[in-house]
Amino acid sequence: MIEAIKRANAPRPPEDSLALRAAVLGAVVTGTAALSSVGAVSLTLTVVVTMLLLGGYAFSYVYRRPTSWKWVVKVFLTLGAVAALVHFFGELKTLQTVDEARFPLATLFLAVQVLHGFDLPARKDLNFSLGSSLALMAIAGTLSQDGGYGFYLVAYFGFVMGALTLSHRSELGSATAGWMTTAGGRPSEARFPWRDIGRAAIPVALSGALIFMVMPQSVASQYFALPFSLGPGVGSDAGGGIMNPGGESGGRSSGLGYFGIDDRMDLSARGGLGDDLVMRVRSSAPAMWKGIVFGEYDGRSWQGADEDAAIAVGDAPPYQYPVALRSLGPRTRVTQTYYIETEHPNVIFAAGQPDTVWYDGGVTIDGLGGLRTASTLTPGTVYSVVSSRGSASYDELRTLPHETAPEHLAPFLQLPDSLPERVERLARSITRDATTDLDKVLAIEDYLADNYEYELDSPVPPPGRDAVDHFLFDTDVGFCEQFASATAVMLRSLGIPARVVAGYAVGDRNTFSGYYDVHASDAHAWVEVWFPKYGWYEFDPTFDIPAADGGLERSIPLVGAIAAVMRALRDAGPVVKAVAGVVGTGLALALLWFLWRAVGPRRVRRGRAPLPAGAGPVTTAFRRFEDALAARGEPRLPAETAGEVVARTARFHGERSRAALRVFEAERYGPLPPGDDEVEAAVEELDRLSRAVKETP
Amino acid sequence: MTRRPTTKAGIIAAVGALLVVVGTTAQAGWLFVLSAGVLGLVASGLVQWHRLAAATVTRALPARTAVGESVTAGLSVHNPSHKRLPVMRVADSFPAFDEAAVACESMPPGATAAAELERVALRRGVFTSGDVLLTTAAPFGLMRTRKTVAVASRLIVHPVVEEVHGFPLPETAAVGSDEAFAMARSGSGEVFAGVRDYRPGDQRRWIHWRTTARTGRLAVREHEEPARSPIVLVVAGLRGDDGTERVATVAASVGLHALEQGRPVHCVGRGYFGEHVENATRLDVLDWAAGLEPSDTTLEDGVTAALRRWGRRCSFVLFESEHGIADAAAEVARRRGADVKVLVACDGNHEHLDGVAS
Repeated sequence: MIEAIKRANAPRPPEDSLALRAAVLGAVVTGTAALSSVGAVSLTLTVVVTMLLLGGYAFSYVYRRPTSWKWVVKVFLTLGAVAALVHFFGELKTLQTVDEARFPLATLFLAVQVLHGFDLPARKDLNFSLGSSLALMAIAGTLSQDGGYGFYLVAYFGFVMGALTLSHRSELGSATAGWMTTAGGRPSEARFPWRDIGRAAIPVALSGALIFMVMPQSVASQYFALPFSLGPGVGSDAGGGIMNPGGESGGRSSGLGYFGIDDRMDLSARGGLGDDLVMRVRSSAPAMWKGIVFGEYDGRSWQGADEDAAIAVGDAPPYQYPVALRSLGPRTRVTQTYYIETEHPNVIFAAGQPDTVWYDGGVTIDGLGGLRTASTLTPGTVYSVVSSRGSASYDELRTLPHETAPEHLAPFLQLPDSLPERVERLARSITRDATTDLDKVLAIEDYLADNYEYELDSPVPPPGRDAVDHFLFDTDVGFCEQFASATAVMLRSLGIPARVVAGYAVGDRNTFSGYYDVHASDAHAWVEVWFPKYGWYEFDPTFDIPAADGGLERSIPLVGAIAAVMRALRDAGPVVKAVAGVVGTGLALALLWFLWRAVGPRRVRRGRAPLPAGAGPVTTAFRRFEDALAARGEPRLPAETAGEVVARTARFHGERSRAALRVFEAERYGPLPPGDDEVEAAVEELDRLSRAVKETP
Repeated sequence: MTRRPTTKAGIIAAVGALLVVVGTTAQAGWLFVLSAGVLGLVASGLVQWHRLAAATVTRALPARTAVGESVTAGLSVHNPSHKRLPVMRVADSFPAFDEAAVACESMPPGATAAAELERVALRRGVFTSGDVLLTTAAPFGLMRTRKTVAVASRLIVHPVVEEVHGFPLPETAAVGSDEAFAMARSGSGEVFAGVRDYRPGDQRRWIHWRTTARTGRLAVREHEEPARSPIVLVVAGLRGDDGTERVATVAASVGLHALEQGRPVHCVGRGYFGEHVENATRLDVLDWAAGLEPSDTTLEDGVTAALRRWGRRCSFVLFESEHGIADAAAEVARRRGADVKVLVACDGNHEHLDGVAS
């Protein structure tokens, strides 16, 4: 054990390759820059670290050979490492969540890189630096929310491939007696392997892309630590209600804010929404990011909960959603972290039912179950939510009998007296064939989707007209608010508890970062329907609400891509389908070729190599001898020479087969073929030997 | 041809897998990309199928050397294929030497790379081929492909020769003027053979004055030496590595000693160059000793054949690696009246043979 440790720490020959050192330094500096780009370390620290790395690597190269005073350097480096550790643990004490440990960890890794940079005499030390630079990239990767990290990644892998190639060549050169010379007499080690690196980049990129496409990327709903912070500070005081910084009440802003997220959703408001990024969501699954729940419909608008009814849900994070309000039945956990980019109303956005909330401030729950904060959400605010979404299948929901809703759901059955009766008649007409609540919901969804047009700039209902009645019977044109309102109202008219909720649709998932980029235009309103025992489920006539259980399509990019293409091709013309078929077949064949390249030759190798073309009679007879040995369970081993086989099997033949072995070697490897008499005798002897091998017990 | 991941590849793959786990638990999508790239480094080795089988290797060796001597061995690799060969390690496992390896740069089609290596012959024998192991883990050292190529090249490695001047060669009584064994020498002997030109070192009493006077150049008399009985070296049985090598060394030493003593030498023993080497020269003796192979043969037939060739005139020196192997052959020689010495090298105990060396 001690000897093994000594061997592992034995001094190694100094590494003379400047190119290898430069490639490793490039990888480390790229990792440092990546950390800086995601805000893990300051720009000043990045510059300082880069300068120190340059100095350290230069020092290591100049003094790469053992010197009598190296121990002094090692003492200083050890002291530096201890100081870095002390600083790291000191920083840990100030953290609010374990998730924030990534920042001091990044600083610690940088310190280690800098210190180690002064002690890189050998190739092994450089390999260690290269490996540990991956930690810098990994930390930056966990913090990166956009595509900018991709540039650092490309540069990093460029340096890594260069360093690995040069390290391998260095290892090859040092483990041998030297390099062979080519025809020109030029020692080959003098060349920089640009060609090798370039040729390797393509298979690496293809392999990496394929692995990424088939890699299960089930972002865990389990969590160890979830981040939350107010960022730059507290927003504007909401004064007990909901404060929407997006615009004035009564009209939809044309910028960042969706006025639907307010105390009141006015169905007469119209306007456009920009495409600005309003928040990023890191989530274990796609979902609708619900912000507010509406209960009462007055014929013109939806009302939120009473301002005075909001109560605190806890003293400090994490805040637990009241058990009495939780839905039951099969649920799927969704873990989300919200990174607010623009100022938002003082509501907690969450997928489905927000079971646990980490928010750096007080959280209250309103009378309809929505979560609110005391002040608006400022840019830079981060909070996390662990939600659950109903995951019962439609078949399970169909088994549920229609029950009279409990009393606490009365607000979600409310309808205004002014609602024209024809709305209810239409609802009954649409659902006349539906036997279960679910079928009624789906029938209404389908009816609206099939017979009404989605248009943001739809006609405004005239004064005194019921907005839903106006949409259903007059205009046939509306947007999410009209569709959601019509669905909820018709379901309520059938005695099914339903409510309109507002928030944001899923957004665009960045394939690489995994974050959902939510834009202002993703603002949306949809419907939640209550099912006995199972609670609230989401429906939307205008938008495919992501299923709570997405399966392979969600977790494996390749499956998701194929599914997306298939969906896109569903309504395509025959020419497009034919082209897609050809392309798909080509891709499939390319994949098969790729796999054959990777696995096929290995299969061939497992079998015995065929006899070489033009094998002579002695070679053939020797193969028969090998076969006889293999049949006895004593096959010729891959590394065994013919002479070793003959020597090993002396018990079968005494010494007579040595002459046959010489003839075999002459026929197989010799410059001149053996004589006919020799061949005849050798074949006879080898066949006799084969028989002896078979007959000897 | 074999292809296996290296330890480094295993470590990198493990790190890639760890990144997947971290990416999953930390909900960090970029870590999946980072992980895919790291795993791609390893996986790319699977699709980069290096065709080492296309390479041809040649080895250039001198014809002969002796154990412990250094020779210059040439090694060259040629790429006859239409694809580039990767950077690789070329390890020569020629059995006469310890393994030696050189690095070979990636080679374009048609290129040849060569190296010369100083190598020390470690073991006696006649070596006709040796494997050359081509190994590449290009470009990153993560996936190793190997190909073993059998390269034919002959090298005779003579055993170490020791001084055995003190060894008394057996001698059967001379048989007079048998021409087959008569050797013309200046000075000694009784039968006049002729005259020849004087050479430095000839004694003054050997001068043939009459011829000198006639020709004007100094001439000396030559007389036939008395016929010397040939020495038959018989390696009757070789078992065990130590005994075999010791026997080969002493047999060669005794053979050269006999030649220096003017004794014809006949070698008998199972080996690369056959069972009999008659009228062996110095090189023949060394080659025969180099080619000796382990054998259980007691070689009574060989002794009989030598007796048939030389009659009772020859003397035998029998070598055996264990007591008793040569008994039968010795008995055959003694029955015919030949003088016989048996030298034995027991496993781990060479006292009989060691005593030969002076």
